[in-house]
Amino acid sequence: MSGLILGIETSCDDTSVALVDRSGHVAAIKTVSQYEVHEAFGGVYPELASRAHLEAILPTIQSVMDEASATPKDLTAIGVTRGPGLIGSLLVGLSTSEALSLGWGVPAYGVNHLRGHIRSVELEDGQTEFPAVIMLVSGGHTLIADLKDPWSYRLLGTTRDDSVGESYDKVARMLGLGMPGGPAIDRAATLGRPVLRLPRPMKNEGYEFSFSGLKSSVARHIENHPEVSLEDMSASFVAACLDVLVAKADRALAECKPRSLVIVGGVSASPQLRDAMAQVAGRHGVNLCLPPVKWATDNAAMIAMATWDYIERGVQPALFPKPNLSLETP
Amino acid sequence: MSKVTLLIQASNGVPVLALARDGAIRFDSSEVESLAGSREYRLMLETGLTEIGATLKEITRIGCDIGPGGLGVTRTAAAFANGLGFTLGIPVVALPAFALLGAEAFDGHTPVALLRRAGRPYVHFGIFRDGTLIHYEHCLEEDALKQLENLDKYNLAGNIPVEGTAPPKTNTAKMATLLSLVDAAPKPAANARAYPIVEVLS
Ligand SMILES: [Zn+2]
Repeated sequence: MSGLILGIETSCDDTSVALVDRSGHVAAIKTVSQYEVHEAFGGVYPELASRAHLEAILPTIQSVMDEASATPKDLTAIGVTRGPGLIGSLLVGLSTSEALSLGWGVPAYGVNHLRGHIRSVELEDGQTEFPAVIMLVSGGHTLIADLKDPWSYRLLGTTRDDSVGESYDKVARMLGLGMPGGPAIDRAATLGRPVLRLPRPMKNEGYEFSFSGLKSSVARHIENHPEVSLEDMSASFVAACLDVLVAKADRALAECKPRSLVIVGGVSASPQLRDAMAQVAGRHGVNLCLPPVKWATDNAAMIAMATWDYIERGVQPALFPKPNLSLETP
Repeated sequence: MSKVTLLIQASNGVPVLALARDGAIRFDSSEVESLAGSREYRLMLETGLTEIGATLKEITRIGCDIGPGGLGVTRTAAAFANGLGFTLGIPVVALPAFALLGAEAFDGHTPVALLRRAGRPYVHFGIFRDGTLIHYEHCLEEDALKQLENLDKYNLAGNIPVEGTAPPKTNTAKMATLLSLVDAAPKPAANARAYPIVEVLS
């Protein structure tokens, strides 16, 4: 086996390593979750996250190489997330990659995590037709962009406060639905009706998003309307989120006239979102591209996949962390 | 083929990389003007190997400072050291920073009190006596100072001055001190790796 990219993703609280070939075939992947490390703190604790990455990263690399029966000679390159993300966590992946690159004599590329999400749709058998409008919806990011080709990104809008995934998690916590919040709310929502009149923040304005007001409004309704079931509460919240996301996608498709609509990120696993976006894409006669659900959340296969773009463009960003890296910078 | 030891010190905030051969330091990145303050481990290592006329494969062990100290720098250093140890199949010996600083500041009889700044109002506090680090804790600065009042006589090291005591002797160990600690360590397994000391507040 040769022609593999070793992808390494440590931008937040999961240590993920994968081997991916040019066609998007994932030869091996392993993701070590830090969920238990951070559970007691009610959020990601940065010092512990970077320490946990340090402990997990080499055994994870070893296990992925073993699983694919790969040796360093099989590697075309190493691709590692350089941002955006937590600086301490990024440093571990980057510094480890620098050492592997030196020790194995394999080039290493610092990769934009956001571009990784966008290329996740090409894993296994995806084929995006360009130009495309992409929407990245996850716990860490919410943005919409226009892609002329796989390399030329134009950011249309991003969130001013919470990401959509973050608001799913926060509302799930308010409703006592447990974590991860997204799937729990989606399940509850299918059993309820959207009876509450929740706001649709910035629905009719451009491409920017804002979800913190929606979350606060849910909190007020929980307090003022204890008679409303959590299923109806969930259904109302999901309907409000979808309304906003669909309106932005609809606007972008009308203005950019792409051939594909690409939806990526953890929230793209939502069945309700998938249905709603299928309808928008159908209305505009464009291809809807969704990554397989298992590649929707943060993972190293998407970072490896994106690395091929860097190699083919001859762009090799240095292995320095960029915690606030934007989509438009490779 | 000669045996080269790679040494990394970073927890005081300024990464330094050295190479030793035949019991002596042959390269020290802090003495190279163009590398002063550099965070580029690869560049520092490649420069050093060229300077001493050695190859990567001649490195047979790595000694790495594990703090306590700067969070980013200790993790970067350990990740680089561990990654290199992994690819070369050689051990990484973990060197506690306070054992290094204690050895550096020890005059042969007077205990060394070690104080390094952590996230305020906390400090890293240690006592080095008779050639050994006998105490380490991550605690409130006032608690560390209270314990110091019970020590008759001590020399100070680290980066926090104490009223009524001579200023800290040093916050950096010489690379030869790192080498002597690696030499004194029990023989490590080939897959030994370094993990920085973590400060976590409940
Ligand atoms: Zn992400």
